[in-house]
Amino acid sequence: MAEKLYTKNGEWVGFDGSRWKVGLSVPAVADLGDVTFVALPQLGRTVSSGEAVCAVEAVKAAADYYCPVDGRIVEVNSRLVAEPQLLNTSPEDEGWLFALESVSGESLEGLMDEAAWKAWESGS
Amino acid sequence: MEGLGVRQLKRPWRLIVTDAAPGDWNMALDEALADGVRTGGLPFLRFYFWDPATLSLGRFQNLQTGLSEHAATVPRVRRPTGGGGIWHADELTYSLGCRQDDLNVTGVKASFEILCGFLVEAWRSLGWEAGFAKDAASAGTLGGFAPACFAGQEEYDILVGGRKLGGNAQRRDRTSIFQHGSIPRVLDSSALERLFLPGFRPDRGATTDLQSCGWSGSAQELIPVLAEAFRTRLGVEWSAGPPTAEELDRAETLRRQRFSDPDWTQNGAGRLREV
Repeated sequence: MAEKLYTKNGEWVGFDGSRWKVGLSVPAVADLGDVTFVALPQLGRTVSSGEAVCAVEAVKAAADYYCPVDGRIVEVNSRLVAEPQLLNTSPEDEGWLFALESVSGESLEGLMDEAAWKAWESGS
Repeated sequence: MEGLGVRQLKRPWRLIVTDAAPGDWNMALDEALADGVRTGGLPFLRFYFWDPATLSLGRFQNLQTGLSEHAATVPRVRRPTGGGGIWHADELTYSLGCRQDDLNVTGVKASFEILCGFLVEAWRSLGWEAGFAKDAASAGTLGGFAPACFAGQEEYDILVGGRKLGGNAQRRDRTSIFQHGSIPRVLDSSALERLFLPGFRPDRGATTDLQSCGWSGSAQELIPVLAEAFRTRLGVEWSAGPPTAEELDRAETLRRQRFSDPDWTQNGAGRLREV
């Protein structure tokens, strides 16, 4: 996967050669705790950057997450239905949430590369 | 308790007390107040009661796990927050909503420490031995979902005399936090046995209630204690602010279109639709 880009809310997006995958960062998931359920978005949905698109429930907190870019959802990670804990064990690899096509380049601007995100994360 | 100190918060908070009401109304008003915070309104701390007694379910709780057949026959409502099922009968319930930047910390766990810290302060003011589960000398394995909310034990669960008093849960979005908590005056063990299957029930030896802790007053009489603890622990000033007509209208819409909807209660786990 090409280098991921990050948001301050904890989402990441990265191009895997054919689609843009979206997931949650390690610190974001660690802060939530043990994940018990992931509400994934509908296939085929066209979403805008900043739009609430899925929710994650951990033991005591349910949190909304937002699509970091404009695009159309073409796949969801159905493994998370039966294995929500995959978000805890592999949030930036096997625990990806959904994949997009037709992602607008403009919506990628303003996201942080990994170095910038780590610098921001360590300072917050 | 290390790490607990008074922090001066920036905006005044609304202190709201409402009468006993059915579960769908209670959840709808909570959501309407939280909507107000999301759109720039003041943060709030609300206290309320339930009539009739109601089983509340976690936002994404699977009704096929841990709940008895009897659980389908009692008044039920699905909460906007995570966690397991709670039987709201003889208790005091609180809810609060704020923007993330109303607090001086970020993150789920840090916010729980602040937003549940007032409960620890309140219980200590009554002379009780209180603290977070994470700090308990006997803390074993913490975490993991429990179909009955009081059955599990999390880092920021509150223990009094080593036993869990009530439960708290949050719902978060990018800018705001909503949290509510159940504080039982008297736990109805027989009701819990009827509602939750064996193996999923709270361990009576690991849980407690206000009466067992030594509170001889009503749940209503506890409100000033908790409000004062909140005020001093978080360093807030109160702003008068009962629900506005607009909030009540919004609550009625939410009650009608979501919280009283049997599909939301039964299948809410699969729905992200917002009203």
